[in-house]
Amino acid sequence: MPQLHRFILHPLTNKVFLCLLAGAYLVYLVAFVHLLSPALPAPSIIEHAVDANPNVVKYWTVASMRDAIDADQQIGNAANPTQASNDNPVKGVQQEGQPPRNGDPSYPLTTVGKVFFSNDAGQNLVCSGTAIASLNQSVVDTAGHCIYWNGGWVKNLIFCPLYDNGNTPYGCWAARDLEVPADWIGAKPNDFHHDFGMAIVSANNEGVLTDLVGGAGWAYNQPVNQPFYAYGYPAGYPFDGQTRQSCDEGSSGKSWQHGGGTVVSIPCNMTGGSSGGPWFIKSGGNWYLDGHNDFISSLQPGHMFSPYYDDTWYALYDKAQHT
Amino acid sequence: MMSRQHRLIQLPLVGTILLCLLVGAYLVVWKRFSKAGPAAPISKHRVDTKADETLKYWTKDKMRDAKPADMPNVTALKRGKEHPRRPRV
Repeated sequence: MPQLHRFILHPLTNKVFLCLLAGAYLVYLVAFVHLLSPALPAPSIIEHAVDANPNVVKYWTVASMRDAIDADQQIGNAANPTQASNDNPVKGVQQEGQPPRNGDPSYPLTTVGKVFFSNDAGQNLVCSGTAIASLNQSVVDTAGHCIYWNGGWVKNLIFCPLYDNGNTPYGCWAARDLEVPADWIGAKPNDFHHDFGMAIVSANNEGVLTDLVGGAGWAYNQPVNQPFYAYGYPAGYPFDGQTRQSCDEGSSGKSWQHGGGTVVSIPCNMTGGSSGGPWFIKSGGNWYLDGHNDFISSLQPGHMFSPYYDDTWYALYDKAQHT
Repeated sequence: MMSRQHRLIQLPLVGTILLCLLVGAYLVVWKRFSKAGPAAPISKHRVDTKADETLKYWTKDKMRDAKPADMPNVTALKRGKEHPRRPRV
């Protein structure tokens, strides 16, 4: 017992013990901070000052409270009971965009362009795409089937923002790397729920991509039931692919189950060549990429579909911006 | 002398309790966040052709004559939930 007392009372033992404790605490602190702040960009917070007018309180009588319409019902989608899901709500993330250095007022549409590429058979094909805000300033978002299709990677891929009748005011950028989710490569036929693709482009003579044309803001894990604004370069009849077209009525998205995942539809009559063109949502005056023209369905004529931008989209984006 | 000894004895005891609390909190946090799992695997393809050569390949005529990539037409669809749950990766 006296030996134990001596051991406990020995100043060196105390110091060693305190050092171990401090070390364990530091490890814990580092691990805790790391876990609490994963490598995601901080979601932007939009503040809105509410006018503290006492008449607002008077406005809400018992009768008006009782007669108030459910917001979901007003939007018109409450008829489908499977749509309501309040448990385990999705945690959405938004990242603001980066305007071009010349302050072009048409931003963020300066980020929209044509994607040209060749397939294995040597055919020259077109899709659409978007330059998005990223660490390497060189990421183009498009559809997976414009990057990897029929068991092969495409060749000669270039991106030409603001293409118009053969004119490319900012020039074009050639891809140096192509990336898609592994499950797009392994997808069953007719499963487009993770049809995501990104091209990482080399700088051209003018500079890096988003420095010149800007990078669109982006968002994922967002509610589907909100207005979407679609853009692209449809080249199938009745379009000729020479000018940018849009479905910018701000139609609300509808959610669908497809191929083991979620996809979204909006009314839009764009055709082949618009694949990969952006779907924007708007919030607080900012535009965020949150989908792209991807496929059509004979079950919903006159509608365009996009894969739902989820964690897989973000994983692809994060890999691309570090490539 | 005696109270000083007591203090010295109590110090490691408080430290042990603190350490246990920290380890407990660490385990709770680890369990909570380890559910996220690894990120979705990504396939990457390095382009061999030099950027200049690719840009030269695309003349104005080739751009104008390029065909639209086929837009897939899908028939397997079912109305889904309005707010998809956060997918497990």
